[in-house]
Amino acid sequence: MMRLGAIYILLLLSLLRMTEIIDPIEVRVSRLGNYLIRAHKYNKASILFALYLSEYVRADVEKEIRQLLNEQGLESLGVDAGEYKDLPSFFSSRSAEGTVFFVHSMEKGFPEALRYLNFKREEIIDHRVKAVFWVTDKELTRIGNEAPDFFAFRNRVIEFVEVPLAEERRPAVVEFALETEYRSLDEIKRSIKLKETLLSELSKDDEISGYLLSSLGILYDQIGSYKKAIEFHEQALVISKEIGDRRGEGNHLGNLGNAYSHLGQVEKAIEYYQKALVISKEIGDRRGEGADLGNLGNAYSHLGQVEKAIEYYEQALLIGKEIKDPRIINFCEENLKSIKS
Amino acid sequence: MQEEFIIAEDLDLAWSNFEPFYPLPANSPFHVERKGKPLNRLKRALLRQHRQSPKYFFSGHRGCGKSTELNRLAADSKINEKFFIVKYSVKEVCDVNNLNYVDVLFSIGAQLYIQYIDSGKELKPELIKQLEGWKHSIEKISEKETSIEASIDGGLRTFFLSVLARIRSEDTTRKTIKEIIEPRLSDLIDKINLIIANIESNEKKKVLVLIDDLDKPRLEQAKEIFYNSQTPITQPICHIVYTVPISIFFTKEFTAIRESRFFLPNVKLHSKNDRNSKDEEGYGLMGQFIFHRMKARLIQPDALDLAITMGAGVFRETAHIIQIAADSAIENDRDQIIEEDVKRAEREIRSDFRRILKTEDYATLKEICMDNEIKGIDKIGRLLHNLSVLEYMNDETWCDIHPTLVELVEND
Repeated sequence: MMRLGAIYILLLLSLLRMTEIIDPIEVRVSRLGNYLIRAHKYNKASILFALYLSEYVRADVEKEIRQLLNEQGLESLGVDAGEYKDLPSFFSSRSAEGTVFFVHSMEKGFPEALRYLNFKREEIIDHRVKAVFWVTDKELTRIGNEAPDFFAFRNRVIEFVEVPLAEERRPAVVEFALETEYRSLDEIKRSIKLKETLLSELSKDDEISGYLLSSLGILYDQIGSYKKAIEFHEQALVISKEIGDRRGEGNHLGNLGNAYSHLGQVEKAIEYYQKALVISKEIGDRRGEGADLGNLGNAYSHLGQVEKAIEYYEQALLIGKEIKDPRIINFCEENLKSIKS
Repeated sequence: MQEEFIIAEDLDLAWSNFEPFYPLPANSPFHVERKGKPLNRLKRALLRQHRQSPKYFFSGHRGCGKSTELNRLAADSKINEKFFIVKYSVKEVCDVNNLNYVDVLFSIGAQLYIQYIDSGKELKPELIKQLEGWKHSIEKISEKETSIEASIDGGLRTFFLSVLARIRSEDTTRKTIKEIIEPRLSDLIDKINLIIANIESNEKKKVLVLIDDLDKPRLEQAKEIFYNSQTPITQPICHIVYTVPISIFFTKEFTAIRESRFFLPNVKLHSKNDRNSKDEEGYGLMGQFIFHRMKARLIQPDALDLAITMGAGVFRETAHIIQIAADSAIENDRDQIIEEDVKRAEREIRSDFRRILKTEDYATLKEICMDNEIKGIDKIGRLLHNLSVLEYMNDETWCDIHPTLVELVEND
């Protein structure tokens, strides 16, 4: 079992949720296993959530737990929620005393699966079902909000949010590196900390480093550290140029524009937006073009050049409508409304 | 449905005793009597003489003991002397996900018939004949208007069960059966009332229907039932106790008169606007709740205090916290729960809240955290429902945020 601890790096994503103490993975594996074994001993139902990021970690952890259960004479059964949306009925039809269900692919079963779980939760309890639901953060949030009665019946949520060190970790890390939408200041600060740690562990030529730099720039901008934001965006820009990533280059230029604009250096911001616009047009990135034009509108509006601002907003709006991007459309319409009033 | 009620001598059994899922059956030694016996008011109201059979509306937070208290009410000897009791959960007989007043009324009729017959009693032959006639008319229309084979040979009991099953089954079928019954609602109410009259004259008792889990449907559906269909659901001529979702119980659109409303409050642990004050009575009651299930030596006093605080005066929440804490103590080879174990439970519950709260919720929570005032039930309905906001009552009703969230909101 010690094997598990060795091959994963713990991204400490849990920190984002203020779980201050993170036990070694093998401790968490036995926590889950022992819970199920005790539930079996007392003939109790168990609704457990195992939070995960990487499929590889999920598969490994599940294997370990299955083995633990097996040693205690318990059987495990994997369930695909996309295939059996009415999970409570599935459990009831299969539930022998010594069976533990491992449910995966929750999202494929949404939204029907949520309904069934919420309204038939008693059936799960009455049949003494022992189930581990493998969920991503997103899935768990939806369960909490859309199946609140079922969620209220949970016993424990145990986190396995590490990612494997090997090549397979990439998609999960990339997703984490790109994530910039957090709910609170607290979460942003934690994310910055984690991303800086991860950045220091990666080699510079890694494409993930570029994602992290850019995402850090955006996060620092969100918390008002504009100079820091500019530093990171500039580093990201260098990498994009080196690897010939034109789209990335355009994005970083736009982000630099934003940071300068927030610093109050609006003229400098306009320079960056113009450069970004050139690239967006050149590579045919319509969404980027719309964003750049909208940003230019904003900048001129800040300078008090209302007519110029309106001109840019209207150009951006046209593109927004053409590509049906509600973010651009709303942004422009609202700004146009307030500038004209 | 816990079979045994033994006070735990060790944490392993304590873990099992704090299983938060099950409402207690009547007479369970795990039960604790709340101050002021809040259900006595309802009991007294039921035992009083009424000219017309009253309908009562019963509400409380998720996990505060509603089902447990209803179980006790149904087992009360005085209540049983006066009433023939029909108690059921809508979750067991209807599709709570798609519920309207027609389902509620039909389930009342069906449960009256089924539970009476299943208790080995018989209805008068004339009434049976009338019910058969009604059954045939429904089946006939059902066959004509839908292609569904409706011939049900098994008699009335099977008929009721099969219609309930169809109400629970997939949308298209359900719609049809509802569509058939809805325009003939007065027929249905008429039949319900005939069954009630027959039972009352046979038993020389009044009929009391207790409907649990009517607080479980989606909010819009609950509103439809309790705002717009209050008249039809009060038509049956028996005593009825309805459970009502807390998020609509206090709204102005819910017009049930004050005398017919009963609220099972959370146990108050501190006074309004003073989170550091300690309501000794509340702590005493929650302490009893814990010690009815495990020996006092299994938890350190400061851990006990923290567990009670974090349980917010809601029984199921408190049980959940103790269960996680017991699990943590066992994992660390302790034979006693210490503060650190409770803190772990607190953290776990807090991070679960973080997942379901939306950005805009934090501002609302912060406001409530500061002044304990209820401002706009619409705004906090959802929060009441997910327990991030809890309501307390003494001379006035006030609310506070879930104690695990205080740290989060204050540091924001």
